Amino acid sequence: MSKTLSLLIFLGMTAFFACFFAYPIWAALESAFRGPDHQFTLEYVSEVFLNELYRDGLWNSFIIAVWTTLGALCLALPLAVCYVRFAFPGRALMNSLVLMPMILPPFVGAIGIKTMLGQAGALNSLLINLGLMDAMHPTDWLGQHRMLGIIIMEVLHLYPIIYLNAAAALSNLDPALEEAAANMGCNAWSRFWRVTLPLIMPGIFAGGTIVFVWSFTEMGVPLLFDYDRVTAVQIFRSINDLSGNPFPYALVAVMLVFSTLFYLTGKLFFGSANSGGGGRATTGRETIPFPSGLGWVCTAFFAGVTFLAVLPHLGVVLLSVSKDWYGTVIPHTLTLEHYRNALGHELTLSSIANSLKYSTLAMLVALLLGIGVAYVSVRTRIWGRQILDAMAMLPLAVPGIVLAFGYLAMTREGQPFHWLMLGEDPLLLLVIAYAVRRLPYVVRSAAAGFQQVSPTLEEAAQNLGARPEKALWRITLPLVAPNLVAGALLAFSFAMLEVSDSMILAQQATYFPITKAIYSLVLSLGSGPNLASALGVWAMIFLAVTILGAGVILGKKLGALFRG
Amino acid sequence: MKALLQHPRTQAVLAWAQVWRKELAVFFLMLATLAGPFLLKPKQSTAPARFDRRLVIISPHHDRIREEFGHAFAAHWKKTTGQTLFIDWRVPGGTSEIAMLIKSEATAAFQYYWQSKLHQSWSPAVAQACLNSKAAPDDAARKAYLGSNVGTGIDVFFGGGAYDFEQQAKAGTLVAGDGETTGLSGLAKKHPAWFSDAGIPEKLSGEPFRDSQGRWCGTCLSSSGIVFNRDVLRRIGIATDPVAWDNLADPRYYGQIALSDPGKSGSVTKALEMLIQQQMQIAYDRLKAAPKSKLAPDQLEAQAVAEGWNEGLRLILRISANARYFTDFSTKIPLEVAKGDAAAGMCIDFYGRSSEEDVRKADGTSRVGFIAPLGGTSISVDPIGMLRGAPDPELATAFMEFVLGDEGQKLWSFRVGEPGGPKAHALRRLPVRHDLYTPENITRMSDGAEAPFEKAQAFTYHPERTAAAFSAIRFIVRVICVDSHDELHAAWKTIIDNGMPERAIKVLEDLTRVKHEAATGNIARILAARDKVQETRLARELGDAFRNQFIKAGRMAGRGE
Repeated sequence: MSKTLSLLIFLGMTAFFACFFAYPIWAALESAFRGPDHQFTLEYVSEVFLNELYRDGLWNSFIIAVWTTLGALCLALPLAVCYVRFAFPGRALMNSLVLMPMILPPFVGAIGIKTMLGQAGALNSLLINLGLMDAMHPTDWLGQHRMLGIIIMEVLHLYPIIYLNAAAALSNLDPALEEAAANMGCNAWSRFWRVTLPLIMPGIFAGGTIVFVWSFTEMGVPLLFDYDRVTAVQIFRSINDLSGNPFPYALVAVMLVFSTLFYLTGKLFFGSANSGGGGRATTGRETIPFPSGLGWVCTAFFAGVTFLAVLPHLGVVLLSVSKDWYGTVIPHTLTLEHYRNALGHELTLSSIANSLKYSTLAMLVALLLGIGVAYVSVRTRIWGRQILDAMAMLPLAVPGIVLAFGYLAMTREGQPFHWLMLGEDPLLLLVIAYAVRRLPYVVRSAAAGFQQVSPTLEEAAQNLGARPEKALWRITLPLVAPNLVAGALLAFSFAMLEVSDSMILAQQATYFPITKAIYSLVLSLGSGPNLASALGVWAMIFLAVTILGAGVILGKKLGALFRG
Repeated sequence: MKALLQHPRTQAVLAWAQVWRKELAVFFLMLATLAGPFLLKPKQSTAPARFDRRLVIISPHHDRIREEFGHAFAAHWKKTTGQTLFIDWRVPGGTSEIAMLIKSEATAAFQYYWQSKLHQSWSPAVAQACLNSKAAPDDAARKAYLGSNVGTGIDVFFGGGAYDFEQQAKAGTLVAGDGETTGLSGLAKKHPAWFSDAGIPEKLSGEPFRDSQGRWCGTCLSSSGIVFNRDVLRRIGIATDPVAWDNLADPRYYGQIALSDPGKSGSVTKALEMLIQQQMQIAYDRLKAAPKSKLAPDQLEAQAVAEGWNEGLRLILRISANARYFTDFSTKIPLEVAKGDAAAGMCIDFYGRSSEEDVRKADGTSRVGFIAPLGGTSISVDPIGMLRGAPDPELATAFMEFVLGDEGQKLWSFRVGEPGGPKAHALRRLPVRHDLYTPENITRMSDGAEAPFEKAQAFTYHPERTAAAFSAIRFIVRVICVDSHDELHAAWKTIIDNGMPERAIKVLEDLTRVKHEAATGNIARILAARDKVQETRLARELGDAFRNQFIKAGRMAGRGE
């Protein structure tokens, strides 16, 4: 690639980031630190810390994040070890099944789990039927343990992120190191603790940090559990009263500081630690076949985790076809009425069209930016390419709700970016918001592709007389296409399921994306949760068809899909 | 056929399909998924891609009401003018949230107008004065606002409670129109009979039904009540259905009451206000009946109000202590009760009735029931009004005319299938126009037998008793009950488990910080100033004090005191 083009990409990216990443954050922060007389003030932020409710909110968010991360770790690590080390029946299938929760929206699952954990819900009915619970004194799981419910939902949604990272780290590990330890007489258990685990720590923590920041700022799940003492929900609750009210912005500022802090801590302490033992494997790893009995245990473990993870969504499916699911393990009378009503609802068609529009455009924008960033940072030697790469990864550290608030602040009437609203249509805003938030995934997929494809191929083409741009277009891009498709698909499906940007930026029914349509259907009188479930099931089917379809078309290359 | 199959073109197509079979299969699967919503899409839409005019309505009404009125009005407009309408519903939350949003947006719009059109500098004083009905009449910002046509881009505010409409009218965000063709003032000229005592009286048993200046008007009637689940009641050992508000304070209901945040829902605030009003009336009757009362009438009234306020808040505190948790939308209350997650909840009448109907079995029995507490609720209205700077005042007026006219009134109340009734769901509301309660109409209404205009006599609403404290009710309940629910709930549990020790209860229920004097004085003043910094600080101080009090009460109860 010519130097001018690289520089152009670099400058373009920097400008884009300045406008749509740095500026919105600044716009949100500005309102938090500017007093009535336009002077800098810490009054509002300190009020956040003085206020017990806000303090509690932060603390609860933190606790949820800690337990979610630990829970996801406990679930994902054994899975990853089993997958990489051992051969067991249905290994490949299990490996893809276990990733399913990634495409299942957790806030839709929350509707299912809320119904199943109700006082007259499926779990209590099951326990009563089994004679383990007194029918007169059922436990009110949600009334007393809402936080637990939230943590469970998030663990079941987010463990694949750690699983992927741990599995990738494990497979990159040089088996010679473990063999050396074994030769010295180290037993399997301490070999794992003393050799393997320390070596894969960076991988685990990379995933752990993402899970931590994600659950720290998650809004959809606590919102559906009606749990108000969580910072993200407290911010969302104040959205209707922004004029002259600096506290939502102050909360946003505090949340941003904390999540960036967590992210950097993760990076600094664990990200770079002892990569000395890493590097490429010197010998191939052989998976150890289990004796048949144990192999099935392994399979059952995978199947069990998958079942647990999709249980909330099974609840959603049941809820969507049930007439009145009350006091029984599975609903008594089934009906397809809810599908007719939900899919025929005024909001549905437009929200589906909107979501497709927003997500496709966002995917294209993210793809374009992602290829540019990845190419510049992998293939060129220009100054600042690492900064560019780091910049593209930053959205992982910044909660969606912070950015959404920033976009809102910078497009208010009279602000320089007001034109982005296109009258009242949040199209551009949502596309940019989705694209920025999902950029890291695309950049990582594309960068991985560029690293794997040898630059000599492109150089050969240039030697034969192709211009650098043509060489890139005809040689390298087709070769990295699977990675790009994988990244793009991930960006697309995450955009379809995006909650916080959608909830905050789309304020009018005509522009609702599907997630907000589901949220507003929940509130319908009478059969609200059933209708929302029906639309949720539709969304899941659509995403499954999209992703599985891509897998069928790409064949084995699907594996690259989740290797972020 | 065979020839056709062997034709080179067909062969080529088949070969092509063979090569691309995976892609084709995926493509058709996606198409099939997308076909569902396309095939099922509503035949007529109120949000068409092409439209001639747009009506923007902000409303807390639930989707059944929006659907029926949206379709009926769009059809009506198409029939009379031939134009296609786009009805743009904005549903940002409950009434309280809408009220907040309108004021917030109006202030932002006025700031823009003030700075870029009038070229004045914006200051906190201007921000506080522009929408403040108590601002000095010669205040420049206030005058500029009232003289302007600064709008929020919304035409009509539809549904909610009279209180919020009165507040918006006072702030100046609602307007009466020009008195000729637009606004309710225009309608009053066109249909004087509607706005008379035979149609919509200005007041009924103390409840305001419409604004004397025509800035808002009631459209249908509502009352507050208790929705309950009989299965859960029996399970927690309560043999009889609840009949009065104070039943819900019974400790047996612990963890089984569904409530929503009055800071978000207007109907819950209304129910709480009713509860307080009832206690004020009880206190009044008691003081009046006291044999040696030497109080002058106004002293008697003041004392009754103060005592009733305290007693009402005490009940609310106990009911909140019983609450499972506070939901964000009042529609969730009947839902949770019907699902068996709560034994009872406070809600607006038609939520309760619809919910009872939704789970009714073939034999006519239902696990869900609804009652209006005797002497505990007034009949109030759900109003409508036009907003300042409405983008299309003519259309807004036509919509208000439709809602108040015979067609709209029948839509509220008739059963599905009756001529003029709703298409898909009975809305189960009662018309506001008294002249429509003819024997013939009553037989067509879902709840015509309710006879609201007659029942309204049972309860006299005294707006003057709670008017000054209405926004304070919302604020106080939010701070001491909703925001502090975890602590309150836990302390109450310890108290119940330890046999209700009196001293602990006394500490728990110590309401001196929010007694009537404070609520109408300091608290009301800070709330009226619309200064978020002050308000947040007050909320923190009050909240901290009450949370400490609850924790202390819990500890005392734990020691058996």
